[in-house]
Amino acid sequence: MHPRNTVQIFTLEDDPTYLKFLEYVFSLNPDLEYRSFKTGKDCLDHLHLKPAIITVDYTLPDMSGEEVLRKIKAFDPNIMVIIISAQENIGTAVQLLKLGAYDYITKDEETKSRLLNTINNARKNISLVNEINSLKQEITQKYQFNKSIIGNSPAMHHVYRMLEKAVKTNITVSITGETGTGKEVIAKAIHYNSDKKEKPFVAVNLAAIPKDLIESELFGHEKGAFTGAATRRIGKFEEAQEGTIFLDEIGEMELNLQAKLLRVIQERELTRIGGNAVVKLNVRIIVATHRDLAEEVKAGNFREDLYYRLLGLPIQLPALRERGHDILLIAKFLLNQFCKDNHMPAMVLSKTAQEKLLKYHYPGNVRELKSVIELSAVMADDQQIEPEDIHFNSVRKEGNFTLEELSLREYTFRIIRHFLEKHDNNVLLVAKKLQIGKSTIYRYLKEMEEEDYAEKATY
Amino acid sequence: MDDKLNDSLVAEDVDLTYLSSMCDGDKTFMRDMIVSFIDEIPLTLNSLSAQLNSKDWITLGKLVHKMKPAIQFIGLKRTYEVVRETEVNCKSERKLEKVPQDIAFIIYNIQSAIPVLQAKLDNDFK
Repeated sequence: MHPRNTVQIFTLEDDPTYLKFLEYVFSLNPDLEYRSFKTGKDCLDHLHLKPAIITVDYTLPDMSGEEVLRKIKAFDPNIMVIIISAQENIGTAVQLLKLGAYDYITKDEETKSRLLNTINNARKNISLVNEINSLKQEITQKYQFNKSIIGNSPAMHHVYRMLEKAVKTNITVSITGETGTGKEVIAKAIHYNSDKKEKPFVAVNLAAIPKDLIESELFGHEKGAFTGAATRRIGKFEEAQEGTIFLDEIGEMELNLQAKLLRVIQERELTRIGGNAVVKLNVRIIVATHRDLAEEVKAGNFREDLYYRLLGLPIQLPALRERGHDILLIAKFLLNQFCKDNHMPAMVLSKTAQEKLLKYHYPGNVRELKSVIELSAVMADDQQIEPEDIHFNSVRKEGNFTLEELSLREYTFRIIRHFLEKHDNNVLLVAKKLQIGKSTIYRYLKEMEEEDYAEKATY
Repeated sequence: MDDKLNDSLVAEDVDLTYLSSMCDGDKTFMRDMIVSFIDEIPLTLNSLSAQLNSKDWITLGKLVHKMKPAIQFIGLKRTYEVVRETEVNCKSERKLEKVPQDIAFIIYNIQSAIPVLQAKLDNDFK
């Protein structure tokens, strides 16, 4: 309706001479499209025309400027209201600013320059708000299931079914999967496809925050709550108010903090550290971990009551090596993305390069595939990636141990070591996975220790 | 207005410096503003007299408040100060005995300014 760069301004002024002056000021900026009203009612009746800015004279014949301001804000809080008044009462100005007026300008020799400056600043604000809205829309589109999650494998079809269920309600979702399988991508996809998509998505990696700071980070603190708490700080839960909080690596949380988290989840309220005020929460919770939480409960590392609270809808993400030809679909997507981001011509993977990609075991999953693809795009001499351009640099080599010639005993050591690392040296679990007795594992561990294999294992 | 009062008053000079500074000397705009002032102000002056007679101080205070920018535009500085004082007195309902005299002063100066402005229109803003 309005050309892209014009801003529609309403001006509410009952003094015809002063109105003439305001119209003159607006006419100095060709980007402003203005419309004048002499009564509050007339102005309010035209709000459906969606002005970006309204200048309001404080003293009007049918209602006060304050009443007009309240009604405009009730109609649309984003409309910027500038009060222009011959009143020089600071108390009135403060009151109006508290009610949401964008600025308060007195009718004096500064009016013209202040009004133009204020409108200019308001326009910048409007453009920032528009930019934020467009970015929000872009993020929502980016995390549409068909754009953010790639794969046609049966394992992924199960994930899609779970996602569809997850977005229909606000049920807590627990995502498990190896590192690099895309747990955060899934969490974002749930959020941006749910009815909370306009509200914040706040991700917290519990493994990345020093233990002493986690409580304050999650629940916030009041000024002076502890040494160094110079100001009040809002925690991540409050930041996510009305939206979604994603607690990544929930399995790393200490037991005493688990009790506090349980209380917050049960009561749906929190108290900042050092504070008394209770903050009601309306936050959806999505958790993720690479650990087997059920096993952690059995081992006494995770509270059972919290486990059941958080379990909600469980989504198990398959490892990339279990996803067959998804590897190529994802590789092609990542390659296109990398070329686009780096202003490079489109590249392709040769058939033999594709075969090489399919044979690898990807202990780092999609995250690893991404770095492999990016490096291969850089290494390739032309627009086709060949096997020799692809370099696997995994720190965990167990998956391709067959490339080396070893004795059966050495293979066995490597397999056991791989499983112990994967399952945090949980001997019982590894024994179950490998379908061997735990005494067999202990025996191998002893032998490995003798051969310096078992540095990190706990018995 | 009281003839005695009239005799004791010396009409304040119109000064368009402020108006000119607000529009960088744009004569078309200045002309529009002066025409608007000459057209609109008599209605306000009539209302002032009416509200003074009915002693509706709050409405009178609002009326003089509304006049402030227009008086500033035509540069009646002393009148502007009297208008400000009258607004405060009326809204707080204090020194009300002074209000009739001040209103007379305001009306007299504005009425005196109208023919001066008209002459400026005819001579300087053709």
